[in-house]
Amino acid sequence: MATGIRDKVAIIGMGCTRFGERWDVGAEELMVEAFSECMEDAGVGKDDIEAAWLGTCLEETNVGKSALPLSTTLRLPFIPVTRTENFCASGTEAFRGAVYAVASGAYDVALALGVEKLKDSGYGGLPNPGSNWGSLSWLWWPNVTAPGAFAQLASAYAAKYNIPDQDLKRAMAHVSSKSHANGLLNPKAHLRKEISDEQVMASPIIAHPLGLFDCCGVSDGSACAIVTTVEKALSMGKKDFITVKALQLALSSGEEMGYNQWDGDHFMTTDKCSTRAYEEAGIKNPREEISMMELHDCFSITELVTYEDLHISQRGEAVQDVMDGFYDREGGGVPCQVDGGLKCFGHPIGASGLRMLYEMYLQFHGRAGERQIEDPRFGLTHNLGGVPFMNVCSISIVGRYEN
Amino acid sequence: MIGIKSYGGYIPRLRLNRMSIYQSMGWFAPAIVLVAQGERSFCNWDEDSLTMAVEASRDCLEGIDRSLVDGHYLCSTTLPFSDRSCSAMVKTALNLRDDIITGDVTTSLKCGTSTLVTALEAIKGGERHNILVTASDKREARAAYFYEMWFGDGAGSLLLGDTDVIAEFKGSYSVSYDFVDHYRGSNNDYDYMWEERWVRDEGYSRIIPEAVTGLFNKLSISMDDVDTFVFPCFFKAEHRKIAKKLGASPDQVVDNFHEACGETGAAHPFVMLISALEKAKPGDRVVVAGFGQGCDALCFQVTDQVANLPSRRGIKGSLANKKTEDNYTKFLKFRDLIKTEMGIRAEAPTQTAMTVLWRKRKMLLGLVGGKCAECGTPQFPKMDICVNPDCGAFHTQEDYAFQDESAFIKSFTGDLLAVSVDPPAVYGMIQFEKGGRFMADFTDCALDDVSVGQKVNLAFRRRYEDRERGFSGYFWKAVPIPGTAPEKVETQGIRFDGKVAIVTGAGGGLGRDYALELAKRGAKVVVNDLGGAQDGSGEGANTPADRVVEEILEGGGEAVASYDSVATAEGGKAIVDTAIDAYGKVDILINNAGILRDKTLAKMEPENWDAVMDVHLKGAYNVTRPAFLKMRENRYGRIIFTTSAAGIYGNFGQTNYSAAKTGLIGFMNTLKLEGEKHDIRVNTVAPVAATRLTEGILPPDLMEKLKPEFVTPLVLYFCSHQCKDTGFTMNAGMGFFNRVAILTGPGTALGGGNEPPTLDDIHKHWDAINTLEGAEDFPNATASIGPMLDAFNPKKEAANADTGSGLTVKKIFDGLPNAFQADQASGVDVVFLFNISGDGGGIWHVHIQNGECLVTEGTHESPTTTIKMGDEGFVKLISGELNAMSAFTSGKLQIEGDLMKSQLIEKLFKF
Repeated sequence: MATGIRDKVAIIGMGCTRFGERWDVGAEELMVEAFSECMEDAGVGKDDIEAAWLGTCLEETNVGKSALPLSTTLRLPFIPVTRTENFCASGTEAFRGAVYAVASGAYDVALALGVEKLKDSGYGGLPNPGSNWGSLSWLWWPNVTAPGAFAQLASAYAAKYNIPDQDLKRAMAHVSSKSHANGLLNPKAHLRKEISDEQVMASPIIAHPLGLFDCCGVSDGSACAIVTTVEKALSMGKKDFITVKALQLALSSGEEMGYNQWDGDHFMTTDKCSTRAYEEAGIKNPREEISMMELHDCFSITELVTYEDLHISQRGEAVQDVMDGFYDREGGGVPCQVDGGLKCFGHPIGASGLRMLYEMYLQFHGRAGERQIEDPRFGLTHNLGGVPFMNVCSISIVGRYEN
Repeated sequence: MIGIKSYGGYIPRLRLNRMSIYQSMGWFAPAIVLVAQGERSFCNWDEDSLTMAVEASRDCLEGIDRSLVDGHYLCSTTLPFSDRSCSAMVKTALNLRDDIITGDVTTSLKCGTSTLVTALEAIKGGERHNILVTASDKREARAAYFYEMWFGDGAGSLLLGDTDVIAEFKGSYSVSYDFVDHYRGSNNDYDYMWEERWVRDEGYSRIIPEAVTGLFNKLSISMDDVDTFVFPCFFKAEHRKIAKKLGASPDQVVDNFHEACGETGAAHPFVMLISALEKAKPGDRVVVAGFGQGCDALCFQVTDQVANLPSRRGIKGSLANKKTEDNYTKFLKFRDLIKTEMGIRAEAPTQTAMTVLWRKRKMLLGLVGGKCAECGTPQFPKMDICVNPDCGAFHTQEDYAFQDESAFIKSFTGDLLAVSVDPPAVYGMIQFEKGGRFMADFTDCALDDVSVGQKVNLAFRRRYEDRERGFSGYFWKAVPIPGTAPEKVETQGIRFDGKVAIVTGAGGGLGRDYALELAKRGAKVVVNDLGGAQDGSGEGANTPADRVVEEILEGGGEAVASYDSVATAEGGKAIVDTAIDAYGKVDILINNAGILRDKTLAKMEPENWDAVMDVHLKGAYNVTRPAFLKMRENRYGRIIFTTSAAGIYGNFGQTNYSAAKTGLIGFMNTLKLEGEKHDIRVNTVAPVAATRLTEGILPPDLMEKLKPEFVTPLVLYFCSHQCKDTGFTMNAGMGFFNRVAILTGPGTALGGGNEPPTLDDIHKHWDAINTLEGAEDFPNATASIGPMLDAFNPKKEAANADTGSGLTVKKIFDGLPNAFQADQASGVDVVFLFNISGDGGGIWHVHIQNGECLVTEGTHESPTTTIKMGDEGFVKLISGELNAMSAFTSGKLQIEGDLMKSQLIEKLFKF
């Protein structure tokens, strides 16, 4: 009988680069920057690492295929290294690989590192794969971009809950302005500027109704974690470390695209993935028990509907919760994107999942500076890769080891 | 009987106003104005001869069993492939049988009529029974050429057969010559034309009559036996002359559609013939002639069967479904006649795998998906395992054609990031009524006209072009059907779901209406009423509150009654406890309970005074305090006080009431400060009700409006989370609302600040002390001290007068000369034409020259730049509420002419 991952694995060190348009460095330098901080933080040497996982997505414009970019860059001494690619969950997948590896007892200490160098494409936004997307998809898929795919959530959500377009647009704007207020306080964030709801609403349209400020940035970055078993952490003399409470993944079954039950207004994957994660972590009432969240806010509307799929907001009530400031850092609810989110960090795909965990790590260790949340209990991170009608959702829940 | 069984037409929706060609290119080719009448049709950027052929053929096969078709010929001089059978593509798109013959007939404008003759003869031979002949042309010409004016794009389709014909084939006569009026080499994009006079005199005028006369002789008929004579000829005068020469009167001749769509090449004899058949009566004789390197003439006689043809779009419907375009450069871009920068993003690879195209030909060209034999779920694409999660059967899919199934929009966007010839790229999820869905590109629509729930048709379009390899990929797109969108939600109506409200004095009148409306909008309501008589005396009968609760429950709402008095602290607490016990919290409190004890002060005994104070002022304290404590716990609250005009302005015989009511304003002013950080907003309403105050002043029809319903919306707005204002007092009644505020005059400082001012100083400066000019409304007491402290320093110049309020389009133009920045205008010589639509709109032009600005109402012949906008949007733009760039990208602001010059407007005018 499977017992889940709860409290089996400890995170003993993490590192994260400054995210942004890092014109002066490539993926290799970013990996070393994150890894150096992580190693020092964990107090382990490179030789203590027995296996590693590399999360990276767009190898075409990035490091290339395989896990060799990690093993050769970090000069890892002929140990097993694996590359994971699962869209925006790639970083969390690397973490999942490392966590499961130590939980299985195969290794004592493992490394998970995510990296993405996006700013070598010559233009903003993600690369356009054209016919490389897939030999059949290319022949019939519409002319979709990421913002265009996610923007449709807004039209479907407004129609389903009978919400005037303008009301939804304002709530979406607040999702972004709230994250910017947090990002302002984070020296590692890419965008550090306060913006008002009005500015978001007036920003130029990218994909109706998403304006520029409804979209996350595009940046370079890397983040990593060193994990071990709880026993090993204790034997190393670690105190107040944090453990993994839940690691869940859910992928579309094709129903969203092909079967007329989904209304296009939310994520079926996240709905199911979060339910399983709460069960694994032993959480009964997430609205009360989750202390902070890092959601996959690739677009404001993604974050807004995700509140409901995470069962924090009731169906149809996310707009009201947002406008009530429930997700603001000091709104008295569940602070969301405390570090600034994808909105302010940008989204170097392979790095994002681990970047989110990094904020949780800082918060639990009381190292989040001005952003510090008082006495957090459970922290949740969420990644959503693909498009609303076909996607990969990953959810991690972490918290202090209490025993 | 052999002949035409059915027809179908397709003219692209887009029509170019020919004058727009002249407007742009008249400087270069002034003579083109001679043929610049009306409109010409042109393909959308994703259409070509092949897509038009598919659409015309689908129209033709309306109501026909497609499995009966045993041949298809596609006639066109502009097919997208030189070596790949386009008719085989049409056949696949139409899901026709595999064991049929197909062929492309091309290289002459008469290829359509020649194929008709050949196909009819093949049917006569008995080898085949039903042959579909489709003619289509997308005619290309270089910019600013007569032929660009003359040409149009379109397609027509005819099903020929030997049963159920609507027009019997009577015979044909053909002549063939190498008469080269124009030609196009295999490797050239455009026609090379010889002198028009020769083409007219030696070509059209000789060869068409020769073929028609030959036909008449062969059939032993004359023009007198013909009801309708159809032949294309884009020379308008020549068209008439040839007809006349052959003895046809003007009413026998079918118009050449120059004004409606232009000359559609090989398709044009079909387009004109179909138009004739649409009007024909049984027994009519129709003669059609097609010209090009010779001429074919055919004669048909319409049968009774024509009445049984199911209705269809045809040419008539195609011509009616149009969007006129005045933007010539858009036309040029759509036809790839101008090169635009498409950006690095457009450099993506575009190769097509022929193996995939072959395996998935039915899916891609025919929009064929699957239907599960086990559970009956239609699905797209067809895959090996059923998509229905409750079924999941393996290998049960049967072919299912989606192209004619009715569908509607589930979600959509207008994408400005996607590489597109016509941004924004509009696409979204479409769902079929009987099951199945897919994510589709939309076409032939504007983003503003698209909504969730709207119905769509499916259309065969070009999906991509691989220029490197000279390949075009085709798939199906959704065309939103105008007028089928469900009504859009403008306002949802503010809701109170999950909120708990207390309304005191809710047994009747205003309080009752507040309670009912709150409940209707989802709030759980504590209906408090002592149930006493009007003056508050006597034992509470519990009935008024109960009745209102009952009413709410009957309407499906939630409510509990409370009978406690607001006049005591215990009563107040009990009311709040009722809410906590029943619903666990309080979000909204409306202090509405009140009584009257009207007396002049002379007759006002202490008990009259105290009773009113107890209910209104102390009563508000008694309920508000316990409620406030609960709201603070939840960090949310909305508190409403009820004041009165009697207190605000004074009313004879109500000193007690006036004092209590105005006391509440003071209460609010401070409570708003204490509640602010907990999101507790406090506001006050002064309802205008039928009282002695209004009696005799108001006409009876207005008295009718002195009902609670005319006050309630404002009070409910104060109760909503949408209302973020606090500390406001509003008059509300009869549907009229205005704000009441305590204003503080600018005042004056006397005595220089060191010396105490004298009594005489006060007298002397009385006007300066009491003036309200420039009076201010202060948010709190501290703020009011500021001006006092600043009084000895000269005040900063007052900010510009408010321009935002009450601004109209007319006022903007009246004020334009004042907003003009002459210093920015040196060397500027422009005319801006403003065409502002809507009730408040109009047309103005503004001429700026020699540093002067002249604003004139009315149009201008040759404006540098024309600005088109709706009146509301324009006012918002000028008042800064709307960003010019976003107005432009969203299409609210349209700029024609010199776009660059339009950017001067921002510099030239300061509002």
